[in-house]
Amino acid sequence: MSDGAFTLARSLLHHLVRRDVPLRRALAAADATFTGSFLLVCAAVGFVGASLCWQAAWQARRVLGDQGFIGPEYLVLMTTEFAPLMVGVMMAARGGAGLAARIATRKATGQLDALALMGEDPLRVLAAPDVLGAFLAAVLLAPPALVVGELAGAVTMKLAFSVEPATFIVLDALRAGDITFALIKAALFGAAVTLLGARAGLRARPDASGVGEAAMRGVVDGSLGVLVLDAVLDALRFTTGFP
Amino acid sequence: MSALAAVGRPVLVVTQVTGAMLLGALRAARAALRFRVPLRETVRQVERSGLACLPLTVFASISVGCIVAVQGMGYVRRYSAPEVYGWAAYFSAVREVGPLLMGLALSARLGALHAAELAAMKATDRVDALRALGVDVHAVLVAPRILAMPLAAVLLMAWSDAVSLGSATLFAWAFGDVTPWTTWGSIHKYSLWSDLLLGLAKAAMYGLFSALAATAIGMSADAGADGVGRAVMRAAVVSIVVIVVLNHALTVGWAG
Repeated sequence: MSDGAFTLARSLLHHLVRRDVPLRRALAAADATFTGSFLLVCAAVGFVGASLCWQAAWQARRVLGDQGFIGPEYLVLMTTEFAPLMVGVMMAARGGAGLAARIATRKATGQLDALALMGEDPLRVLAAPDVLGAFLAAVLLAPPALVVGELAGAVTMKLAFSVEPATFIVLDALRAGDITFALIKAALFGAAVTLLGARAGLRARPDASGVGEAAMRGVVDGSLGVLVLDAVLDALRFTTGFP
Repeated sequence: MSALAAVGRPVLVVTQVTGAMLLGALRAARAALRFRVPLRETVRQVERSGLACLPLTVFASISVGCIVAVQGMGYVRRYSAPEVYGWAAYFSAVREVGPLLMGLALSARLGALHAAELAAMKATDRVDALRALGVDVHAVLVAPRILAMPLAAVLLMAWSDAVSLGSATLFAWAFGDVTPWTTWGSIHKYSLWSDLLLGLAKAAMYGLFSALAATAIGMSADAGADGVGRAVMRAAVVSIVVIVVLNHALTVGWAG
């Protein structure tokens, strides 16, 4: 079995196109990822949003004496950058590492060999439902993350700088393209971290420290993958203007 | 009942982890004050943490530079003010967004590394073997890691500052017609050393707290391959949460 990320992605796509991925298990994985990560993602985005907003407002008051323009800028920044990023990073730590550890444990206990012996592709059974599920869960996690981030900003501005939420929340600043971009980013991050987690699990040495190393690889590859993918997508959007 | 359980479980996890971190900090401080932490092991941990993260730091910093540059260039385009681009990039890369993103990436890497090692040692009964020999495992295994990580994090953050500023400069030159001379002139004119120092101080704090979380979780891992995997995942998640909360506290505390 080849274990490069692109080979894995190709054979996963192959299974998806042929629709022999167990859909029920994919939905179960999406459900587990969503419910497991929801509170963590919301808490993380809330804190990041509050500190970004605080920082921006403090600088603006110091330099310009006016904080009126922060609301729209913050909304766009949160939507296109930080909400999807935090969804991705959180999913790398939870989903990516978890999947890597699960697959590596199965490898350590000989279950992967047993599957291969029965002519079953371990990728189809163990990884494909999780990748598809993470894709769905990330798309579902991004909107609540946006809302929580925006509310955290609004609360910070009200409490620390007495800026009314009605002044701060300027929904007109958001274009449809921004939301599409955020959803595309989140979905790609979710799929990428899970794929990298599966890859780390499949490459593990079959013993206890191998499982630990695989889970670590899962987190590391996942969070680095999210950062690099984020930079690439930002640069693409900056140069092409889409979406 | 299940609603109560859903509230109770996170509360239990938070109190458990906080308590374990506090205990770890106290034990490490006590061992350090009595000069019972092996210096050579601490230096070795700094070295291998730094080396283990070097490739990750380079790639992540290039990405952070690009992310910062895209944001900065957006403002340059809208307000046509290329002369503040360098300052904006410096400020986010060195003080705000840079430390946050690098903290997340590095703490996931280092936290998972140390949690994985300690958990694997525990799963293979090596920690118990050391205890049976009368060795103080906290002074020998845990304290060097807790002392080494802030130092490694500061060194890596300094390296990351240089790489991400370089990448932001090149990005603006390639895609936005802001020459490196304009960028560096702007950094030279408007930037403060205190921003750089705050960024490095943040990195040290993130390193310290994620080391506390990772060692506490690694030392309390369940036996078996399964337990090791879960410990690593939990260390990564807790590190991220700790950093996000610390980031907020440091930002608000420093300025206010």
